Amino acid sequence: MNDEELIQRIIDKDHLAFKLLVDQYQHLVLNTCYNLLGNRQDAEDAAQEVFFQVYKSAQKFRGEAKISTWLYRIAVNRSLNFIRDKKRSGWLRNLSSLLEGERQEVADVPASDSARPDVALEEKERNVIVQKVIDSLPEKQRTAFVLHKYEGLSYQEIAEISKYSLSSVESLIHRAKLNLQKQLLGYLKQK
Amino acid sequence: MNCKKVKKNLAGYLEKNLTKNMEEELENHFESCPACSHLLEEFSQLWEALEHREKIQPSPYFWTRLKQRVVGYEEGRKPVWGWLGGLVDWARPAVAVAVLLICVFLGYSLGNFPQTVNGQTTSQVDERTLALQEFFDSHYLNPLNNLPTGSIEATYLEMISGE
Repeated sequence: MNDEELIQRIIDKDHLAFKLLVDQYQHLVLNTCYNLLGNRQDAEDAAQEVFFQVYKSAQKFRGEAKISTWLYRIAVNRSLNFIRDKKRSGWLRNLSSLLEGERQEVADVPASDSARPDVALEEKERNVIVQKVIDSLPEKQRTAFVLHKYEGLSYQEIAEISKYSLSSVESLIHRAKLNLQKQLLGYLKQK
Repeated sequence: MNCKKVKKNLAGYLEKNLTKNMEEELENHFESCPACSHLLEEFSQLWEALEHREKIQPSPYFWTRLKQRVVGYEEGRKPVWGWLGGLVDWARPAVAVAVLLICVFLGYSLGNFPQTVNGQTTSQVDERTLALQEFFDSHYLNPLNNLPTGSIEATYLEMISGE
């Protein structure tokens, strides 16, 4: 079944076809959301939103691009909306974390496979730092960097997804790397 | 090359994005500067963590949760007159008009109940109400006929009985 047939069956409310799409692309969508949001639960919620939107508006898929390009675009938009909504309700979250007495994000970073607890702890701490510096990037830089670095997409593919020009994508990724380098050096200096 | 320039090119060095010349300059500097060499070691660990992030797996209930939402969405979209959907197109307006007429007829009938003719109540409900009134009067008001004339009780009884 090609992309058009799959989407047509989803438009016709065929749940089996929809499940095929979800099975095929859930890792892609979930990890894109995760790399942009840095939180497993938020990523899962955002990924649910992405597929729900796909089901509701499958007729909007125009077949000019690949399904994956379309899904990346929805996943990026959903994740960025998620971040904006979270920022708006930030004061409530801060209050909640204050009451809990710890930062939830620490628990959301994947645990290390290392057998040595000290090594595992160091690795987890590094992952937390990395997440924080990625979170500190401006939206456009973060999107371009995540799609390039973690999804392995070419500059051309990122340009299609984000609708930026090719030169903008190049520039965004370059600036993202400089920002990340600066932030990481700042962390090491404080340490 | 000074330490400041080294710091600006650490990521480029680790990603092997520098020219051969620049790369050699940095390596020479690392050999002669223990501080930058140590910084490179620490920075490379962080950059490594940045480069290789673990992939996460969807929860086992991902599809179940999504399907529940989709089914809920579809049920929410069904119109109140969903049963009309089974009828052929031309029959739908006819059935809708028939249902509307039945509702109007029922409403009109209920609005005129109970009916009165020449001021006399003809409905069963009013007949029962009168019978109850007579029963009440004979059992509860008649024993009060012997109240002293001019007393408050007798005056009140006169007022409510209309005599």
